[in-house]
Amino acid sequence: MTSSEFREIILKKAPKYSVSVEYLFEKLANKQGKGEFSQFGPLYELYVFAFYVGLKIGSRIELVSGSNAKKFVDIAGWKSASPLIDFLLLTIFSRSDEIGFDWNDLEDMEEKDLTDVVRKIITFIEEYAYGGLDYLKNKFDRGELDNSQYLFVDILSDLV
Amino acid sequence: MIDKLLKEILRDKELSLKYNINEDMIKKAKLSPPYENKVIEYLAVIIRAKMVEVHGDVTVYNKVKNLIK
Amino acid sequence: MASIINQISFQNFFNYYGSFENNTYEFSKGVNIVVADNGGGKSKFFNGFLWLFYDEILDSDTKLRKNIKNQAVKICSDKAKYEAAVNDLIECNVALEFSDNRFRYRICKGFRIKKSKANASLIDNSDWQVFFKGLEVSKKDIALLEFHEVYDEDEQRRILDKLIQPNLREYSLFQGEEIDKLIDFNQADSLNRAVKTLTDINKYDELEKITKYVAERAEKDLNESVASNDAASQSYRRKLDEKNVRKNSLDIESERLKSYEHSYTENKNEVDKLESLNENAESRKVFDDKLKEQNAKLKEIKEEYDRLVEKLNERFFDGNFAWIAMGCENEVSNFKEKLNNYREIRTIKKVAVLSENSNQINLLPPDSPDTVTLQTMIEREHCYVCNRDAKKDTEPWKHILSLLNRKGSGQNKTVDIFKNDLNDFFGEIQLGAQSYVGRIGAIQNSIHRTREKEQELLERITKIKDKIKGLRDDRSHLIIGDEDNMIDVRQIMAQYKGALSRLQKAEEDIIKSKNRIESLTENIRKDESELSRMRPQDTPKEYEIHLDISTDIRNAAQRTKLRVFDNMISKLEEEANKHFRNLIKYNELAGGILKFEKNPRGTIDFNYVDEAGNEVGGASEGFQRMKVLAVLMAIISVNPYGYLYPLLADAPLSAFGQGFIKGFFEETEKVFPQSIILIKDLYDSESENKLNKLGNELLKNVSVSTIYLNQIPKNSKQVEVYTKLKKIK
Repeated sequence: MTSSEFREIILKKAPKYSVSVEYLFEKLANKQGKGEFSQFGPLYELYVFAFYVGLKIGSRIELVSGSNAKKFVDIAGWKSASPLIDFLLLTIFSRSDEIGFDWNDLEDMEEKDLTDVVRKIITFIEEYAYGGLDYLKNKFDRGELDNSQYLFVDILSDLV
Repeated sequence: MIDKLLKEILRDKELSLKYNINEDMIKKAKLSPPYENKVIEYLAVIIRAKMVEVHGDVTVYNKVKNLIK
Repeated sequence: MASIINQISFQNFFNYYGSFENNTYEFSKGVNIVVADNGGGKSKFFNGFLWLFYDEILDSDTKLRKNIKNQAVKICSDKAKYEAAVNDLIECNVALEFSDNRFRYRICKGFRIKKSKANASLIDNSDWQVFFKGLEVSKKDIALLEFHEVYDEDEQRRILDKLIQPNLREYSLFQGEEIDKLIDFNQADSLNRAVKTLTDINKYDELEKITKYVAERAEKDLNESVASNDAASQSYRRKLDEKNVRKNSLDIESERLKSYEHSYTENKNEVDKLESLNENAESRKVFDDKLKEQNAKLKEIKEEYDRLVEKLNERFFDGNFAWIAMGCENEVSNFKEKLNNYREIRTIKKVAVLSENSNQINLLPPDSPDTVTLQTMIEREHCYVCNRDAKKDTEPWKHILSLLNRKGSGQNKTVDIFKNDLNDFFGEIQLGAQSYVGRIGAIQNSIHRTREKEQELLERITKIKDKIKGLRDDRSHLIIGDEDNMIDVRQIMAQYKGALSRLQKAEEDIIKSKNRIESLTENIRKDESELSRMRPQDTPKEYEIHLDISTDIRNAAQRTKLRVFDNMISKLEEEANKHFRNLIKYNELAGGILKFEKNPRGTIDFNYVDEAGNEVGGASEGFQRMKVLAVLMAIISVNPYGYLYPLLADAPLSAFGQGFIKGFFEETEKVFPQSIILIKDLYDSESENKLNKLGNELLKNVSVSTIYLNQIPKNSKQVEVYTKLKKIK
């Protein structure tokens, strides 16, 4: 498998999210006119943001598979023209130990095993994103979100 | 207060020159007798009759006319 | 001797709930201040005076004065009405005591109301019976103790007039913006009326008239005493007839002059009105242009602000900001470390694989050194791939040599050393993420700068908004009447031209007429002196002297009137500017100059000019108010008797700023023997003594005689509201 083939199989994946946090996307992203809160534009922005929040707070929540999880747009569709995807991959591969693979081992793997690693990577994204979304959800439900332009900036800054 | 009106008229140059009214007389001038000068008497009677006693014009004139004798 | 209000008391009058004792203000000469917040009873206090003088109160809802008769239930304290039982009588009264140097007077007006049913409405007249009392007046000698009732209605009225003379009440009792109407500079007669009312100048008019009458009668008497039969007396009569013809012409001419003057006034008013309409149109245009410019600026900055705010979250992902990478330093350094490790291991693995298969390989994996490089490595005995020595004849050196000497070169396919070659995959990530990685350290700073930028934009927006508000305020003063009723500009121009030419004609007519009058008068004088020489010998001497004196007095009265008036105008100007400068001295803006001029008609024209003499328009409301007050004070100051009545002002300068208020208090004291000022602008609910900085300054100021503070119990319902007064000075 070549580098570009490997990249492609990762980017073709569409991470999932739990329906229990679906309303957050309505409230905090997908801007249609002005909402009560500061919002992200595309949904994946909130998803990526949540992923980093999850990482910062170290909250990884397993997604119970089945009807509770919905597929998200494939990674390839995430700001493909920006450095976002590369930085996301940088983040993921910096955590390879946690995900459970070794960079050099990848080069010797059979396609089946490689696909398994890719699955683990996606799970990694999904679970941290869920962790972050859950964090936002709790804040939202408790009315702890400020109606400020700097809502997301402040959330992230607080965790750094 | 009305004295001021009297004094102000007496300060008129032509009048004071013709009737030899000096500053001292103006200072002392008042509406009630005695008067130092016929003109002062005339003016005082007119002013008092018109503005203090608030008489009509005819009465004011009759009071002035009485000064002739 | 001026009238001084000693006290005013209320009983169940609006918020002044309870007996007179609980609601009595004691005042003295000089400045008296009643400080109250909104709803603290200022207007109610003022209403007490309106009741005493006019049997009216000002309806706070409609801003109209209404007769007291239908307002009784409304006037009576809600708390008193609420607490009353059925058939209870409630007393509602206003009482005032004032004194001159001899007597002290007491005036009281009031009524009783009776609750006619339980749960009576607090405002419905039909639930209450009202019994009005007559005016109660009593007086006492200042040296004595007891008041005696005054029953004679004429005397009652005289006493009320003594408090404030009817024609002066409008200048003595004023409320907020009513002040501006006291002297309306756009109405030619308004200033002259104020001058006539407030000074003794009309006494000179009166005197001129009576002396003229006396002189005429003296002449008539003399001529009647002239004998009628001899030749001398006949030629005297002829001369007398001649003079009478002239005298007749003079009367006709005087009548004409009056009509010219009337026309002058009329047209001057119209010209002034149209001119201000016209000028305002022009000045408004200036304001409109400025407003347009500021509005455009505001829009631009607002858009910039909206863009900034809306796109704020985009900065998380924008390669120029990369906020999403905030705090990812560890990930970045882990990645780098892993990448280096990976490459090292990879190289070793590669070398191992290659050496195992050294003979079979004639192709090198990608990234291997080319022939020239291999040659250099051999010569220098150093491997550039793993950056290690490769001394001649050692294994690494031989390996390099074997690579150089391998068979074939690049014609065949690369042998797959790894099943999956991911070197490019990782390299691409490193390269692609570079713009985020490079910015991580600067993210906090970038956020900070964004916040600053936002703040800066907000500040600019506020500044421009303030500017626009200021311009709007100033502009609003230029609008006369209803905007909807604005007449077509051309029509205004036509009217204006017509009025202007009529005005000019009237002006010319007046001058011509005055010339004719002057020459007629001159000729009549000549006739008179000739007549005095022609009088027959037997004319009684005393009649001649009588006429002589009367004529001289008449002439002197005429000249004096002109002299006094001229002096008064220049003194008025001097005083008005002095007061004006003092009134505005705590204000940062420099004011203009108030200019008084005598017009051809012999009345006063007023202008507000700058130092170069150009008319100043569009001054702020504060300055307008100060102009009126300065002119009012000047008129009072030029009056030789000063002002003999108290001033009562409700919110004279509401919201004009502390500078104006400070100036006002200082200046009022100099002009009015007593002033009672009801004011909110000294109140500060946060302050310990409820006075703001200026209030506390005035508290210490010796020229302020008394200060009262009106307070309303906090959080009380309307039916529980009452005003509590506290004398704090």
